[in-house]
Amino acid sequence: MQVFHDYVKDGKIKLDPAKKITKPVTYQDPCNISRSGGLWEEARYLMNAMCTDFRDMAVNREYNHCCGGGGGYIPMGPEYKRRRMASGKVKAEQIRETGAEMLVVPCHNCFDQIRDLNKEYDLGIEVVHFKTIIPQVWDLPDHLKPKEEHGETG
Amino acid sequence: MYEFVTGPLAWIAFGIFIIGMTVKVISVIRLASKKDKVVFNHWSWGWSFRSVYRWLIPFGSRSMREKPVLTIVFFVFHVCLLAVPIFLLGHNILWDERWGITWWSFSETSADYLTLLLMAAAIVLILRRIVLPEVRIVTTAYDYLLLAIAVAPFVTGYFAYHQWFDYKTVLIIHILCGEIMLIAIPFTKLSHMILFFFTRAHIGSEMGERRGAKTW
Amino acid sequence: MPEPAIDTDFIRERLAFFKGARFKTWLDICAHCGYCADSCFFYTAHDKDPKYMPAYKIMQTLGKLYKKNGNVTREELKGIADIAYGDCTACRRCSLYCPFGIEPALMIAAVRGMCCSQGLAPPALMEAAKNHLEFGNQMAITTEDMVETCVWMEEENEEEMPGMKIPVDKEGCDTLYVLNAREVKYYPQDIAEAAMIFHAAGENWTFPSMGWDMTNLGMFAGHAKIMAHAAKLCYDAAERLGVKRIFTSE
Repeated sequence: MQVFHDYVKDGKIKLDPAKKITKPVTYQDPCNISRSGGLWEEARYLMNAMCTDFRDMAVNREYNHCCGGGGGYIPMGPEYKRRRMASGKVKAEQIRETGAEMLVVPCHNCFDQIRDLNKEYDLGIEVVHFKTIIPQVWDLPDHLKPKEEHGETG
Repeated sequence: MYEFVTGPLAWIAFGIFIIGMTVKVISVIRLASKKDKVVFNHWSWGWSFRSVYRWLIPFGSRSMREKPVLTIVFFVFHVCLLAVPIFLLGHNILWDERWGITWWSFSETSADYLTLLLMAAAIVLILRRIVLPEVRIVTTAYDYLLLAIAVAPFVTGYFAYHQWFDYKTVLIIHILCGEIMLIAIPFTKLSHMILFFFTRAHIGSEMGERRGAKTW
Repeated sequence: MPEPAIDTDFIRERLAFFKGARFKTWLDICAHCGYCADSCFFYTAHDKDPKYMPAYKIMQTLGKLYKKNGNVTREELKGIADIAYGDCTACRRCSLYCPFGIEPALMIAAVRGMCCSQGLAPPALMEAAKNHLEFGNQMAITTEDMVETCVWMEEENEEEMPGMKIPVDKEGCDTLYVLNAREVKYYPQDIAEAAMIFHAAGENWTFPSMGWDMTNLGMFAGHAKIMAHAAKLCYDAAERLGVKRIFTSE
């Protein structure tokens, strides 16, 4: 996260403003990265660089709510799944309130939990990592572009 | 009897309070340097100070802002609890007589109103413990006992000031209650009057210096 | 077979170990004020059922253990474990709401350690945690499988981004990249995406063949040995390959 932020900020990776995502997008502050990692403004810098309609959740940054899958809850397996889904209600409602169609999250625990919540609470949301989105919106220098495209232009 | 409770017993009560708190503070610091070294790794005076300050002013923290009514009651309760006994005219006269020290004091009427306010706040705190399920479930008899210890000097003081019942007896009971409270502070949860500063400073540093997260 | 008795001596020893200035002060001064209740999503998600409020969960777990000085039956410890693993994710949000700044998350972690020592950690979690010892990652992925996945991902994305490499065990790089084992097992494309970004940014990086799992289930389970082992694997990899910094995928 920190790294991706630095890449974009330092211009090592250029984002193409024309490719910015236009649908509403929200961001999940993972406990370990925001409250315990202090990286919430970096995430918002990236979000605003990548999309035009960034909507923050109702409580965010260091005051975020845990997704409900942290602390080893996910690897505790199916026995705990029902409880995990029940306690994830808070996060699910938070997400629904933003009206976002896509959710970016840098943590894999949150990622799996929110995908499960998506099914359980029918949120109709696409859950992605930063590293999935960045290649969709970047502006690559020619020599790094895919072969076909490269062939057409040159 | 009056001579005894305002003389030797007062000395003993203040002595136990001051020595007890000093021992408490020293033992916490010693224990921390032995078993909680991690506390000092991230210690920051700046974060500590802000963490304490934000929680000392009304509505200074997010937690307090989210529960405004409770916050007001808590502040009324704690401010009166500290201010009334320290700035009471009667106490100042007594200290002047015994120890030759005195300072600014409230008018008697305002002290009277503040005492009423404190008792009202205490009633809200008690009702809260009975009515709200999330507070009732963590409430123990000990919590009521502590409230009683803290509020008893004020109730008896109010009675004494208004000269209800037998003034002499009520006054002695009042002084005894005050002394019980002083003695109880170092040995009970009431020690939070000092330890608050330590735990707040710690969480301020732990979340702030280490992670950049504000605890207010 | 009857279940083994609880090793109360051991629990007592752990209770004494944890009773430093922080735990002692926290337990001593918690005023049972209730500020923490609404901060907890377990509490709000269960329609404000008071048994989910943080202070109560601590009273029912660590508080109970101290009160009984470790003399608990297996049934009681099971109940404690159920709260410590199932009703708290140690997200630390309540610490921000407590006037005294008490940290229930740390106390829950201590309780998990004691439960784990008596074999009461959730079985699936414990099994995955043990994989750290045997395979060096929580998903029981062998080094061969991991390297194969890297090669596969390199080939898969050849067209998308020519020249992209996933360099395994390359010495003298600036950066060591470590990730969550779930990525390799369930979302291998994740490795490729990271590799593409590193490639585009011109990062000089490598991926270790051992010590690449940055997750630490030992920590979640409360198993100190596994916790130390999993963390050490990563640092060993960094030392072995002489990198300047470690990037994690989160």
